[in-house]
Amino acid sequence: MAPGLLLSNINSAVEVMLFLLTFTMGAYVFRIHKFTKNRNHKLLAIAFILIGLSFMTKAGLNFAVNNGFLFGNFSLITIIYVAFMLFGYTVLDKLFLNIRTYRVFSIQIILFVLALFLVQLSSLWFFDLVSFLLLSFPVLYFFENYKKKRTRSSLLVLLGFAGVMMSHASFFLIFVNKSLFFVDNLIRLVAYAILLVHYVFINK
Amino acid sequence: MSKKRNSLEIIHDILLTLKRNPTIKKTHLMYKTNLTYVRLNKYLDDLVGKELVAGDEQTVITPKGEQFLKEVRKMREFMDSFGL
Repeated sequence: MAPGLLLSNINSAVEVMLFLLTFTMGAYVFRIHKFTKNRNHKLLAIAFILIGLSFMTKAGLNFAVNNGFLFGNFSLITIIYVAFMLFGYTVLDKLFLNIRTYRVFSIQIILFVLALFLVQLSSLWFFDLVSFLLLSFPVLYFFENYKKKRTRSSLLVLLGFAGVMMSHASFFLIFVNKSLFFVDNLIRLVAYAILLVHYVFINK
Repeated sequence: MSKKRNSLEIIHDILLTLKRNPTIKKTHLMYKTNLTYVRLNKYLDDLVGKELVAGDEQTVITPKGEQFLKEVRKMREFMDSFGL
């Protein structure tokens, strides 16, 4: 197997693992929501499931491209991947900024549609910029939460989401050096591993 | 002023009170959990429906409820870590 193809298949396997992790966390929060009927719990579950679906789509995209079913980078599946991911982040913002008025939420939706549009025109650069900005609000919230509680689990959530945010920031560096593509993947992997450790610690 | 409890915390408080006071009457449960009669009944109906508690005037926690109490602690810690 060519090194490029091997790397791509490893990437697909990682995406499937990230899908399983985020989907499991989403299902767990949904279970909590079943008892609490709390709006916030429902939104967190939806966000995790949307992020999970985007990873599943990405894994499907990689598999399809590797096996010659699809050509080029900006296929319909890329748009679906970006849409799921951005919608997941938008739901996180709605939750952690406590947005209840649809006038404010509609601004986010416009940003979301604009990102989708620009992804088709150019590259994933705008997607990463928007993702970075959208994630900065929950990360600030988790930072405040950690400052208040000073617990191991709140620290793990902060580090996990900060890592995911930074993985989007590192995408900008691809313009400087193409090899940095691995750095962002590594940061993202470590970030989700932290979230996995958090989930395991709680449920052990 | 203490912060408003969320529903997960209220469920935890009800189950914990029932575990610590197996012979508690509904009126005392109301005072101990700091809930109004209407709200307590709403939560108890839900918990009876899920077979986590049993009885009417004298409510008791079921073995399933005791198991769930441990689960609720984990759920609380999980949601707490997200600041929710």
